[in-house]
Amino acid sequence: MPVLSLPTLFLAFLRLGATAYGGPAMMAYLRQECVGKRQWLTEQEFKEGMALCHTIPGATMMQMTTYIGYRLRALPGATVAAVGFVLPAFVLMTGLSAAYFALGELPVVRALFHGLAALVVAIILNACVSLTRTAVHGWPGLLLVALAFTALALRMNILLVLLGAALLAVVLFRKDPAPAPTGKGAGR
Amino acid sequence: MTARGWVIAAGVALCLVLVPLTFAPVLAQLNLVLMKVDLMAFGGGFTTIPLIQREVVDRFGWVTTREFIDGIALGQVTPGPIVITATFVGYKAGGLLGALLGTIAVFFPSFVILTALAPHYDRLKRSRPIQLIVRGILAAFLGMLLLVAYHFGREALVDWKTWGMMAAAWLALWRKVDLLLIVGVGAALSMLIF
Repeated sequence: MPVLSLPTLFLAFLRLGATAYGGPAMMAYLRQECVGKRQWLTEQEFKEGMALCHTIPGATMMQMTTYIGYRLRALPGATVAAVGFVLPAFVLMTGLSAAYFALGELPVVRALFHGLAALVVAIILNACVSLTRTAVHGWPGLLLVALAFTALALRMNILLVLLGAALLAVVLFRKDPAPAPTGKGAGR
Repeated sequence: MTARGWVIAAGVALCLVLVPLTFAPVLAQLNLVLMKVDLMAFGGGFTTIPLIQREVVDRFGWVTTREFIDGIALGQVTPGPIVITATFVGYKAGGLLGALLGTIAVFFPSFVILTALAPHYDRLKRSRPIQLIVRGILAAFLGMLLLVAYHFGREALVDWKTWGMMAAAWLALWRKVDLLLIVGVGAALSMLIF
């Protein structure tokens, strides 16, 4: 396969960034575009990238585009892919934010967000369900969930809570044969 | 990553904090917070919500809980990652420039980590402690996200109509209805009934 030019890569990810909607569904879309249609990566490489992106911090989709760009054209490729992918969302979000803070007090806008806020609660609860499937297998996981809930409610330092969870996980999950998180649905 | 790569990365991170310091200290603080959020955002996406809530809403008060919920709603109608809500926060704190810097800040640290680790991943993958640690952190984030859902619920679910919309949306998500369709119908309905 000939080496991809950076502008080609940029435009491809710009298009992906403008059309990738819907949380977990985005990952399937990205796989279809980059593995199936364009054959930039093999299925195996894509899976390895997913596993890496679920192991390190950062927005999973964004990490995945960075990874694909990196595989194709090293650091310049990663930069171009990441910027291209986030640009449509950035432009749209900036426009919407400007509109929101200019018109937010209009009754019709208030009514709109009154309802959308209820949807956000549903979306977050749904994300909680997906996270449960990924991260909680049995009572040690539930214990961690309860401890973190309480710790945050008591306004403890989040970094300390995460460190505590990491330490407890090594002890509690030690005998757990379950595989590493595949993160179905947790990433957006 | 080469030594030169690390120097450039450190330089960009410093610029994100030091440059705004000269004309808009609030943006320096915000960029620092957003970089910190990104560094802790294991599991990506939704796990950043408790982190942003704690720092941006509770601690510094750059946006109210109400505005934050609305920003997340906007993040649902834009394509790409939900973390783009940071752009919304940046815009509130510092207009166009705040939006731009905030967006860079919330993606940059994890970008550096990924490009640094990608060549060494084979060793990382075989490390079982790392897998356990990531699962523990995800479980902790789940607990925090549940608390956020509770706080958001107290703010957003004020009568039977909002409760009804929440339940209907959850059912639709459960049945794997397209998210954009849910938000579209929800938006239209909201303007009619509220």
